[in-house]
Amino acid sequence: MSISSAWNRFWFSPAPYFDLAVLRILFVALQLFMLLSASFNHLQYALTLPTELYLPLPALKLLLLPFGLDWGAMPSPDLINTVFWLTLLFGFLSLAGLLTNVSLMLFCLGNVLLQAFIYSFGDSHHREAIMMFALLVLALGPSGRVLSLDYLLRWRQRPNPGTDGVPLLQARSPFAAWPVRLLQCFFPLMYLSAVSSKLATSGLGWANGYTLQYYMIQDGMRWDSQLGLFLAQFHYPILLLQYVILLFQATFFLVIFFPRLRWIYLPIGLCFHIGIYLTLRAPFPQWMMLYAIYIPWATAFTWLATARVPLPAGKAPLTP
Amino acid sequence: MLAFDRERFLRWGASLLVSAILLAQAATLPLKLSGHSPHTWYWPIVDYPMYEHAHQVGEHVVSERIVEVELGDGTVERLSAEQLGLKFWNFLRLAEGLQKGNRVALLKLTSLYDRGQELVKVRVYSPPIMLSKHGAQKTTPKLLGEAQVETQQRKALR
Repeated sequence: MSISSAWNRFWFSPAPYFDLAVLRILFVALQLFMLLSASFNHLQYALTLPTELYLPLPALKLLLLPFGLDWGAMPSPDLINTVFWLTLLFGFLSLAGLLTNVSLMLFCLGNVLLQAFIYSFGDSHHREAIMMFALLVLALGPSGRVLSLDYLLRWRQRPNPGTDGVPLLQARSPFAAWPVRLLQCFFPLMYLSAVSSKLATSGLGWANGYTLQYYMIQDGMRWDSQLGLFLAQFHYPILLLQYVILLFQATFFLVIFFPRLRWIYLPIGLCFHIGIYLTLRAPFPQWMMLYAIYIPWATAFTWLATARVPLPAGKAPLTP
Repeated sequence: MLAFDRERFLRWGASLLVSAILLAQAATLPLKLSGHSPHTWYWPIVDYPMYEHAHQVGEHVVSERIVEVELGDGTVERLSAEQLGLKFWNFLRLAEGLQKGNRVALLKLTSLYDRGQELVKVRVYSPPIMLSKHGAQKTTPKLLGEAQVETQQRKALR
């Protein structure tokens, strides 16, 4: 098999529109929730900070160019608030799937601008980055083909709506695969970055039990996590856990080549992120939601729709 | 004249985008290993160094930084994030700069401290908690760093 064929087979094998649509709904819904529950407050706080703390990220400077601001100039509160409310509007349009690709792209760009602004005051974090890429690739793929108002509007225009087309769960496209594949490859890169940081900075001595005990106490005190402070007492279980963390992050990429391994890695990953939230108060809701990229949604729904329930002997099935 | 192959064009476009994103993210690994990581400057392309530093038994647990300033009249005042109008992370970043005597951090402090008093010196301490094999243990605060506030910075305050 040539490189070109292998590349096309990996990135452009026909994949269900349904999977992409489900991811669109899940990710946009979560991002709307994050905008309303967290980002708005962070934005208002950032707008009160003195200009001496303003260090605009390159992404923010680029996205502010269409607004006519000087390179690196601080946007006004009116501009930021306007972008916020417009982003929210585009988010709801994307969720409903109206002019999906356009509204999703504007939603993505709005989120990048707002988050980059929040991060332009000397403090930034890591949880939102992959969501920005998720919104971007969904905007560029056929994520509004089904489960959307666009789909309903298109369907009403069909001359023979009763007989035309293919079953929704079976409708596929070679361009519905690459967005999901990209995110599936992006995740292992994040985990590899995390494990290589640990090993490069601290070597295998990172996994000494004390490291995670320290962070549990540090964050337990910072964020009043009694669970973190309590669990920090148990040195040997924590030591074992640290080795598991290194192994998990270093080998997560195997999920790309052996998809069945997802049923081992995803539950472990969810436990880690939930555990990190409960003990260290470090929320990564975006990462947990993005695990949905590894679920074959169309296959799962098809199975649910066709699964059979055994009946007791002698009983006839009830028909509607 | 060649017919425009739309599907082939879209495949090329998607392939370029996929390659660009994955290569950019993958590039953070060797940069990090070489010690030249830009961290979050090129957000959303970032490295992921969370919890990367190893810790040992007996270390002070620096869950926060206690910032004390010595004023012109000799009194010592403890500063909080709320007093400076900052939230936790911004205050922490400022305190990290102050403990290293970072000039920009000192200038920021002089502009944020608006009580009209002259700042002479700033000291940064860790809280009085130490790591033991069985968890947190009380100890005395540890001085992490101190810095003189230069005359120019003090003049900026007046």
